[in-house]
Amino acid sequence: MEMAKTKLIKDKIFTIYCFISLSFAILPLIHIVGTTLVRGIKAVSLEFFISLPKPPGEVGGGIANAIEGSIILAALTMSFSIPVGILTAIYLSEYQDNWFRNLVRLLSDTFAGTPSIVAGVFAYSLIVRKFGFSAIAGAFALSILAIPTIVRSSEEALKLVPIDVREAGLSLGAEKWKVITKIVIRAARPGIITGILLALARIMGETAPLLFTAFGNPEFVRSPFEPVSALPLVIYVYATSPYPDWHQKAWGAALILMLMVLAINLAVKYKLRR
Amino acid sequence: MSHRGVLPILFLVLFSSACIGENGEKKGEERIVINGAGASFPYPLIAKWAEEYKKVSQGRVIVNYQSIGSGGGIRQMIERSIDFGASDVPMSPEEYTKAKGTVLHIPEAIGAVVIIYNLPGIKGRLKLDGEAISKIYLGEIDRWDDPLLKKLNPEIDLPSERIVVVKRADSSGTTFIFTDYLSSVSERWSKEIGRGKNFPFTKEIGDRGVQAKGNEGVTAAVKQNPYSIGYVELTYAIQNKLVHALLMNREENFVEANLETISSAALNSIEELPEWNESWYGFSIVNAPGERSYPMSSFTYILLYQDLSYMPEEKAKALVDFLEWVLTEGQKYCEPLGYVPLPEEVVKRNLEAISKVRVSEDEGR
Amino acid sequence: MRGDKLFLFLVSFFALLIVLLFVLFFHQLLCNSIPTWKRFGLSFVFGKSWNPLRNDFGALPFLYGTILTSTLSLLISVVLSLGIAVFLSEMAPPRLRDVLSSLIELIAAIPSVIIGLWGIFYVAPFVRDHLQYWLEPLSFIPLFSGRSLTGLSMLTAIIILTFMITPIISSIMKESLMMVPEDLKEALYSLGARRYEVMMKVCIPYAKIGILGGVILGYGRAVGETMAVTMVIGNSPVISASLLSPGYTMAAVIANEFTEATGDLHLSSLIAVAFILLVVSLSMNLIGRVVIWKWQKQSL
Repeated sequence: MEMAKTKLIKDKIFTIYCFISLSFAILPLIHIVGTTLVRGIKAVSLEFFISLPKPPGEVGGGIANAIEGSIILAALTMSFSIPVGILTAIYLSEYQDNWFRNLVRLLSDTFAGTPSIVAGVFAYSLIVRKFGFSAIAGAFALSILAIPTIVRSSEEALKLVPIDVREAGLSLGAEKWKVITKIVIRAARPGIITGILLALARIMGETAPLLFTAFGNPEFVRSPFEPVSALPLVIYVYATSPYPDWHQKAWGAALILMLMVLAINLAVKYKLRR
Repeated sequence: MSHRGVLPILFLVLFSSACIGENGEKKGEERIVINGAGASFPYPLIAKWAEEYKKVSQGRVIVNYQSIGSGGGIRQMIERSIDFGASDVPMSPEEYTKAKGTVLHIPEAIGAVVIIYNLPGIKGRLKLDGEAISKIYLGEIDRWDDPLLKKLNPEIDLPSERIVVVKRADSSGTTFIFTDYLSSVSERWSKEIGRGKNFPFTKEIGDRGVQAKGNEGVTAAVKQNPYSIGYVELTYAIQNKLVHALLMNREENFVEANLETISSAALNSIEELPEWNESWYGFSIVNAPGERSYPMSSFTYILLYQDLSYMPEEKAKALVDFLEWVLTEGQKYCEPLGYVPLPEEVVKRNLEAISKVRVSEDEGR
Repeated sequence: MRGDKLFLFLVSFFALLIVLLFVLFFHQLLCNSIPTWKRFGLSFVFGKSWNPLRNDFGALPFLYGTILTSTLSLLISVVLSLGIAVFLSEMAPPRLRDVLSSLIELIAAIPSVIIGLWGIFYVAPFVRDHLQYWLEPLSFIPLFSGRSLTGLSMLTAIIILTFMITPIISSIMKESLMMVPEDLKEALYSLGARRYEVMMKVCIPYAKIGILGGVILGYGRAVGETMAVTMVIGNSPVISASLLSPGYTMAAVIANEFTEATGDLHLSSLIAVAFILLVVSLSMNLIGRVVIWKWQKQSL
């Protein structure tokens, strides 16, 4: 009986330990989301969304340039990495296995572990040194981070499409590339889109690769060859500044960024995953 | 299928919002964007100029200035990844040889580095001299109630707290002015640390040291940490309503950094100004003579290549026009921000230098 | 059939592009860091001083900061993650499990700059004003000696990192635990075993390789994390035993100094740091994935 009692106590302790661990993750989460909401909302106004920042130390202005910049960077990055990602995934899933294919898969998977700051160094030495700071350079760095996610999830989605689907197409006399582009991709679409959205959510929040590629810009941009600002960049610069007004704006920008990223994640979770 | 069309819609949203941003502005002739980067010392001023000049040029010329530190400004100038740089330190001979052509130094304003501190509950202005500052930054003095500090400030009841020492993490002109000053007043400093855009903390500082990025970061660090001390450009102290210490100058007077004392330092050094095409390295107005001269004053420079024919002619012209405006009309924005406008003599020299800039390939030399 | 050939050509081209990018990546980092390797050789990795003024560069302070913060946060995170994984896989009813799992995944989705923002305004002051006093009884251990005057310290970075990598590790752990066959557990339960015994004796040993994979992936993430750490670690290239003193990491020094390094050797040393960082985190990622992949294969 004595042993049963100690066992019971040990079990209780174990349960408590699990519960405490969970709260160590959940409570800070609630605190972050809560403070971002509370402090962010104070910063948000119409002006905040539509006007450009004021010179340092002056109160007022907004972050319209950063919102625009984030959107431009996201669009550019996606237009680089979606074709590369999906076509590579097709190569990986639809064609014969060989050493080269394994190499590509291995390298793409390895790329997924690239620290974002190093991607920025790469983009700097490859692009910025020759062409100067630009949205393109920023998008290039972000693409290094986005492509592996897209390749991986697209490949998995393509592999889930039953062989019968392909065979049915081929037996009707269609060419293989038409079967792939018209039928297989369509069948794999939810999975591919999930991957794209997850990659999008990730790169929207990246700051480090933008520090020395996209660089920042207090104005609207008109061409992808100009330096451009972005929400995470603004949050970093404003958060480390001494101006209370900028701190408040950092929280406002954080709120907007957080809502964007969460919206994408929720969309993935509830709409696309079956 | 509920997900049908998600992607096209997403992209429609992305692109259309990108377009709204772009169309939000007045369409007109070709817009010119001039990219500059460098010192955080003149950042509030250059940002103000950019905003005003956009109005003056009716939205045609956009100046994008990013505050990344003087070292960054010089480096990006060397790499030509920006159109103009800004630095509080003239380029060193080594940097000069790496540059892709002759680089002009155009002083655009005069500023001062001030010592800011966070002493909760203490009223009255701290007084410091070069020896005290160097000892604090070397770690020799580690508490606020050190005898030396008490001697300088007999009327202040200094707390027995450890001093949190804040310095710049990045390579900065502000640090250069600071170390330039300390090197000229303290032998130990000049021997062990010297002048530079950055310096390492000594062992004695240990865990009392904090490094922050930019004048912005140092100001924030001092504001957020009780019993700390730091050095920043005067504007940052003014904008953040931080008191700054009175410094002892060469004639052993305690002076406050303000319009009068900074101009006095500049005017007393004007004879040593280099010619426009000479190297500016070594020119400095710290510890300048003059009864009312503030000892940590400095010119801050805009850097540009003399030969701008590598950029589109329109942009080169716009850059030159912008600089001319800065040196004339633009000077009136200095004072409200805590910078000192340039003396006439310096403006005259600057305008001469700018007239030597080559803006296009086919321009006769 | 011509269409097929063209299409194969197209997709192979993009696959080749990935390989080329990879080669180019290493080539750029290696070539641009040659001056440093030539000048210091391997002693660059173990050099203690980082002084751009004297052109003296050694990566040890950053390596030390990176390894110390990521290893300690990994240790804490493994303990927490195990509890979370067990709770989610064994204790929580399915509805609650789904909700809690999504919440934990949410943590991983928060951009690191927002966590850094929170770190500056909440965690650092918390460490400065409370946590370090609670840790005072431990101050005889060098790790907890001294005092942080600002709250910007390695300890703060560790707290932030722990929070950031826990979702990654716990979700892989949860999945590994859920793959343990029911009959194995049932057998032990029918012998009157308690839950903790089942966990310790069956589930964890069974899932250990999957767990290991998750741990390694989490480590790779911690090593490469930049913004949140840069914002709270205090950025001081000193090697101090105390967690309450400021530190520096490889990622943070690149973020701070990369745009401003004027000396050739300074720039090449920063790229050399980037190279080390890349090699460390890619190999972590590779090993982690191989481990997970092997385990999945074996358990099928």
